[in-house]
Amino acid sequence: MRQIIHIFKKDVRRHWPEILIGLILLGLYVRITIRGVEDRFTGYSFPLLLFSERSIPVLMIFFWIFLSVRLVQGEAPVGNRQWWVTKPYEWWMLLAAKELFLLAFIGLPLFCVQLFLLHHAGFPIFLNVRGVLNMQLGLALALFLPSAALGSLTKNLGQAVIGVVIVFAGLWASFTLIERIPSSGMSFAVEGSGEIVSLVLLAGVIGSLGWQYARRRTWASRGLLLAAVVLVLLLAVLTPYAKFVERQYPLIQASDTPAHLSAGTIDPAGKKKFQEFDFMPEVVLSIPIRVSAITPGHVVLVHGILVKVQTADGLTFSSGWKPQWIPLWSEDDQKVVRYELKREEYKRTKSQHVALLLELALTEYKETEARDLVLGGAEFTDQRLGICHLSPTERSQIACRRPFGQPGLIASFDPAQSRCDAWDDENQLPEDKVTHYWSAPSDGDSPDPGLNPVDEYQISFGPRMWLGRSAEYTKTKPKVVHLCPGARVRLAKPEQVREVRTRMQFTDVRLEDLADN
Amino acid sequence: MTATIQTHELTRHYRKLRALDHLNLEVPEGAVYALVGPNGAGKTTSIKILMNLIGATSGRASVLGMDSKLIRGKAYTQIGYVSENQEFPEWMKVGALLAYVRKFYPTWDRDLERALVKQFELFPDRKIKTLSRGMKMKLALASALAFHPKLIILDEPFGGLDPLVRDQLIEGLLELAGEATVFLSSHDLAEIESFASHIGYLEEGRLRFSEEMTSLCMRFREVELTFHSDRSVPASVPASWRQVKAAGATVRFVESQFDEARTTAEVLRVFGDTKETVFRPMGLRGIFLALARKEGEA
Repeated sequence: MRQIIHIFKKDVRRHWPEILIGLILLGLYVRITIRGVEDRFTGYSFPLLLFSERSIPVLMIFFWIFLSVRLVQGEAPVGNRQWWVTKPYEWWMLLAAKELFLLAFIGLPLFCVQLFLLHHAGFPIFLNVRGVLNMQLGLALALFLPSAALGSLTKNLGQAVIGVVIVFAGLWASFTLIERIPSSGMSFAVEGSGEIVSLVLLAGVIGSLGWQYARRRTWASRGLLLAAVVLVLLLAVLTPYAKFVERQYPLIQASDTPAHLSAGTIDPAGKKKFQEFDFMPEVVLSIPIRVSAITPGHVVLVHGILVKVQTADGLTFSSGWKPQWIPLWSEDDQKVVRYELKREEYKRTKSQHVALLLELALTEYKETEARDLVLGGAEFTDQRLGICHLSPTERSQIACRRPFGQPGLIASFDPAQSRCDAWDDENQLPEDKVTHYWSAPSDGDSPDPGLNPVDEYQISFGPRMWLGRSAEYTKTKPKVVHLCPGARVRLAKPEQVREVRTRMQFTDVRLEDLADN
Repeated sequence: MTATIQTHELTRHYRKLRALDHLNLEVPEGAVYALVGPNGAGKTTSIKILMNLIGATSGRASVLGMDSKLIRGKAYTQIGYVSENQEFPEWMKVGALLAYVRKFYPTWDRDLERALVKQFELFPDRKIKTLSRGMKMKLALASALAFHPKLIILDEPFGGLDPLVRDQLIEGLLELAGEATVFLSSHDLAEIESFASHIGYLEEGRLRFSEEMTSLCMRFREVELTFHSDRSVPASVPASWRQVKAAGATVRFVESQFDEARTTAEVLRVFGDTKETVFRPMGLRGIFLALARKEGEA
């Protein structure tokens, strides 16, 4: 322990200017975060503030990476000419001293700031300490550990920068590669895949860091990290995503599905065609489907879609499963699902009369713990929602803040049950149907790694204002929800009922009648 | 006498280059062992393997009774290491560095530290990055001696230093090393001649010989024979004679297994009577030149 403190003190003496800069950045972050919240609530925001709000956290994170790398390279494990390598350092004490430094001068100040932000936003500190600690743990695993590993596997800052470039280039190449794998967008259907990937990467980072400190075998440690990345890539490439989707979402009879879905009406004349973007490798098809028979109080989420195109001469092609995020409600009668098809295949068959075989992966949720909330004019506190108020700028929104992310929520608003002011906008019409807001249940409400423990979110009903261009498209005025004090909103917690798969068929359609671009 | 350092068939390859080739070496306890050889002979590679800074391709080595592969952490409390190309924490001051390193060693001697600082004329308030190469070596040596190490390993410690600094370092080393075993590498024979007790000659990764300095100097003699008339070099001479040359009535050679009675008898056998026979002791440089030329001729 004495050696840890001894090395720690030496590092403090060396890095005090960086410690100071880090604390100043953190102070600026607090200032702009608090100011940002205040300005947003009064509907007033400076461009400079917006700029700072986005740039300071990025700057802060890059500075922390820089400091971590520099700290570790103070006793660089790469090479054999360093003065310290023939001194009686215990490797784990050296590593512990570095971690202690990061904890003391990044983790602890950030922890205090996070508690302060919670307090400032009106949330109790003690009830949320555990969540903040979880955030810190997440940040340590996602940021500081990889930064320390980067520092330990490179000899100087120049090499570290090259390392960062390689990491980003590798990530870009990996994502590009994985995107090309059919159905890879449905990776959420592979149970535990996220956890496995995280564990493999974490094991690679911790293993390479530990090995490098214990044995200073740089190339072997780099190899270990690379092996973890390659293993993740191999897992991503070799996973039979379509099979996992079929297993996760078992096929059932159309009559047993949580929503009766059938082919919608295709109206080529009524559809305004966007410009054709030949340079885009894919064409987006907008496919209308009819929806009925959804149990009131339930929501059916279209999680994925598979489209197979069958031509008259027997040719069949598809781009595999594509993820969707479309909630279907009991009030809905028609929805549009979108599917990307390879442009070359589209071009070959766009004018032909073809059959479309659709498979939809559906997840049904039901409302639990439902209750009514009567909105007040002032800010109000709700145990599930957090601290909320009616948005002063968006009349269809309730703006909320809550520690550690928004909750899983089904919110419904029936205009017939509320008496809000008369509509005064000539370009829009008041919504007269029940509208909903939906957010998926999170996994045990565990906080994600991040800086600010207070998450701001909006419960938004109906189409957003910026979708006004759809008026031109449909030649009708958009319907917009208007919330007001006294309006009654139904709130419920979503509980998953089942996951199923269903099929439907469109016959005798032309792809060019469905294409968006 | 037990060996402080021992290597057995120690070999190290850098891709196709064989930097060290089956090195078998023993450094007795209390010796001042100089490993000499030209640049690129494998001296630094040997030392780095002994210090566990790099691994061996094959073979094994032990240092202070420990497998060199296990030398790390606490093991360094018994070994003082100084190298010509060590990278210091340049941002530190001399005094701060010594104060920092002090706490790593339970046997650190503050009085000895003060004596070394004084002897080497080190200024505690100076930043390391402002020090000359010679001053850095002095600082390295001070920090390697102040804890009474059992073994001091020096890799080319005097390379490129001016004679004054070199003498200061050697003086400090000899005065303060105490009972420690010293193992050092050098490519300059003159600088180690005055104080090494043992010597090993490494060339192209191979140890050509390794022995006590006194026995080495005892067995080498420059022999000058003067005759009454001109002589040429005989077709056959004893294998221990090197660089046999004749010039008029004089024949000179280097005897590598000198024993006065035996050498005199062999001279008589090969040349018959001589007018005068002179045996001259040789310096280390002369011995190495004789060895190198013999190797070259071979």
